Amino acid sequence: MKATVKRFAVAAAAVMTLAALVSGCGNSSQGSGNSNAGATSGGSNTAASSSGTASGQSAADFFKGKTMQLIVPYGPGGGYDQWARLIAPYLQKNLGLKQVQVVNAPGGGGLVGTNQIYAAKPDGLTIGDTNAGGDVFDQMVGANGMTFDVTKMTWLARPDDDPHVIAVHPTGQYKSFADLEKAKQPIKGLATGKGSSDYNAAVITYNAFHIPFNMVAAFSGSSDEKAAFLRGDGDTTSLSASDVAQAGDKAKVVVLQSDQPFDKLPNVPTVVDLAQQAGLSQDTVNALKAMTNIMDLGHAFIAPPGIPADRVQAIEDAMQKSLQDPAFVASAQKAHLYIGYLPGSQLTQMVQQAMSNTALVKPLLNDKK
Amino acid sequence: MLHQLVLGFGSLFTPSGMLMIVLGSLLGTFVGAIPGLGGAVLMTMLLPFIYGMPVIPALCLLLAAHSGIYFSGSVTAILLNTPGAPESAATTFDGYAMTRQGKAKRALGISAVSTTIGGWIGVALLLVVIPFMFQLIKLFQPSEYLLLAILAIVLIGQMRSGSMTKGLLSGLFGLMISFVGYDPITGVQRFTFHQLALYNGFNITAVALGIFAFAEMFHLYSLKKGRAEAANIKLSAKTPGAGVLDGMKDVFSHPWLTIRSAILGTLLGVVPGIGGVAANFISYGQAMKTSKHPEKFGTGIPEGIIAPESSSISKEAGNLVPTVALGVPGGVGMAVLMSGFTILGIVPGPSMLKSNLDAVFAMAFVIAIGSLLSSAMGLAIVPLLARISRVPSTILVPFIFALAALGSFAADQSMGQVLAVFAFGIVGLLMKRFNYSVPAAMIGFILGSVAEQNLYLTQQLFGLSMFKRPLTDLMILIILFVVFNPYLQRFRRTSVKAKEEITA
Repeated sequence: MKATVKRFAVAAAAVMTLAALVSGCGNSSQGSGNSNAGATSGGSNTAASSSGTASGQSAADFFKGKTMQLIVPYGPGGGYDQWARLIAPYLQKNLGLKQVQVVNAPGGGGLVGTNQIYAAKPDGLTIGDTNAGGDVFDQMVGANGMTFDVTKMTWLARPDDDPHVIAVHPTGQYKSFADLEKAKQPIKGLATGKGSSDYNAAVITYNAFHIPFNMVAAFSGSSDEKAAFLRGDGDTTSLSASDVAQAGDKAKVVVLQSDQPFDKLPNVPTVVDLAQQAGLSQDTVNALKAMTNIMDLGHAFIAPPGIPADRVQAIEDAMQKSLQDPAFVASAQKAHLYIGYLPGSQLTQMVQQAMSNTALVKPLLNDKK
Repeated sequence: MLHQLVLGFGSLFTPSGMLMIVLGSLLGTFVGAIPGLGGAVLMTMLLPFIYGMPVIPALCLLLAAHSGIYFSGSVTAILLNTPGAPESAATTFDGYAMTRQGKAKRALGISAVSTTIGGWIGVALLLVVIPFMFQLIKLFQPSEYLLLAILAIVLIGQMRSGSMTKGLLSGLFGLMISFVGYDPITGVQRFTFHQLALYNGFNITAVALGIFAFAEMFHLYSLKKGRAEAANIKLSAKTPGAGVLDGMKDVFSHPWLTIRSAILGTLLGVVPGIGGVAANFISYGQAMKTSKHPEKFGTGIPEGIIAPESSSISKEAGNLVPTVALGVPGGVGMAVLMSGFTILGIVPGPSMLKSNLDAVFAMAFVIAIGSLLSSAMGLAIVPLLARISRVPSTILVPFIFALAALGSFAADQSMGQVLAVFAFGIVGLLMKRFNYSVPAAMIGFILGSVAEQNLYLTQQLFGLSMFKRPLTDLMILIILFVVFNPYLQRFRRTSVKAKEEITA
């Protein structure tokens, strides 16, 4: 028996040594960009800023040959994943990186991944492609499990012009927005997950128009939600225009959750237009405008707070350059992704403004009857 | 339609297409033997290479790599009781038992042939349903998914453990483990104790390696007869009836089981989330349930290898259905494949059945060819591989420990998961010691999130009207039958006995 214990101890020690070695290698090969390496509490990150600039190293030198992690808070195959994977090689090229690793971290309506991005080391080597609108809404309602602050986050760029929409089954009970307005029974509205932007946008719209509703939301991403809708689940689905376009003729868009008309869906009214036509109160119209402002944040690219300014600039420049690359434009078109660049500074402004509208929007976020 | 089929088939036979299939199969065969590095991990590693590649060769590379892991994953399951991927976990039961009887080559022969045949049957089925994919998908709704998950847990709960109670408790334990991490509906953390390593829950590779491989290795190491047993294997390996050919014959003498398991695997593959790793357990469970001698399962009989092996690749063919028809991945590997689609500019979903139909057919053929290639390559080196079983446990066990620690780290890049492997190893050892069902715990873990999500969706979408769905009701009846059948049988037996007593 003693011999067994001894042998076992030796084996265990060997394994532990090996595992420690492995974990060491893993970290160094990623340029210590392991997303778990950061702080556990969100707020403390801002203090630990600009460690790289002190050494006098330029941003271009810093990125050269390193590995960047691009975290997608949703499963593979969805809209965020698509953007991340399409843009990754171009970011790599334009920043001189060795590799851009796309990491999927689904769960909690995007909270899992976004928490991870926020808690990452603020060196510019961990960025994310997130549902910015969802994050803003989460903060408005003080969502459970949220450990980030959208007003402190580094906003890098928005790559797309892809408004959120509400679509119905073309052969279903409700064929237009007017049908929804007349609904007597609660309609079943699909959305990815509680707290995601598509969830909240739908809730705000239905509340504003006094449409009775039940939200159905437990999907790991837009592809899951789209699949459930295509399968025949629910009455409406809340998705982005490009997602609905991929569904072909099996989904019909009835309203744009945007302030602006959209050239690819010329005959679809915006929710603000519809509110004015329906004669809703000015407060409600303003709340809907605030909502569309949040939704227009799109598939925003973010990073943890406290990244040295020159590195942020370098990433922003690389992002813009990537979006103009003809090869990128061609592949985006092929994948039904609509390019529409907005710089980080503008996103920061939109987020500040959105948060200041909290009191207006919050009463309409109630999904309990 | 036929034109697209021919086009898809023809497109594989280009130099680049064939090269990629061979390369992918080779990579898959190699990587599958490393515990923890399954097809999904391998495909993720290959994704950066397909940027700029034409569509068909890129798909050839990804899918051949993905189907290549199955045979070599089973090789480690059979020889070392360490599944190369969670997909091969059920193969350990009878495969490893055969190895210990000195029939390693025979077990490998069974595995290679049944994997290939299963793959081909799955692909044949897939070719038939491709035109009706969309309709097929619409048949299944969240209430059916939920009940399928429950059925699997109940079915496996009865397997390899004498007591139904212990089996169900094991399944529940697995369910609880799956709840660790963020709640998918509200985003609240559960059982994470504010440990960042637990935020995303336990990794499936870590759990599978822990409760299967580590538990067995702990056990093996504690055996004083370790060396004697190894010597014993060496001797008996020379006895007749241990060759690869005998294994092949075994498969052909159970044609119905092979076909049935492959069909089951394909069908389970069609159900997103459930198909993946659960298929081999469920297939093993049904083989045992329908067998005339269920008590022999786990002692090293061919049926116990044929069933899980035949369903393992066929479920990949099934996995393609939701992936292509709806754009929702059928399993982890398919999710990565969908990322590959993005890179290649293919839009999965109903439109793919119109615009890329030839690619869909091509993918089906790649699975078939890939499984054949990797099995053939694997079989060629079986005599070499079989020697692994003669390595004394004092050398083997630490090596497997190290390999599994490495694999679990590679799967999630997190030290926490390596510790989880050790923890689950101890749990698995205790479960074995006290006759709790390890497979049931594993199935509970795999299907926990599926059950949870679909319970929520069912409640939101149908409420009590789920009972108005005929398919749902049928499945409830099946579950009730599976649960109460042992009691019914006991009742029948006692009543027969009572009758006999009366007549006597």
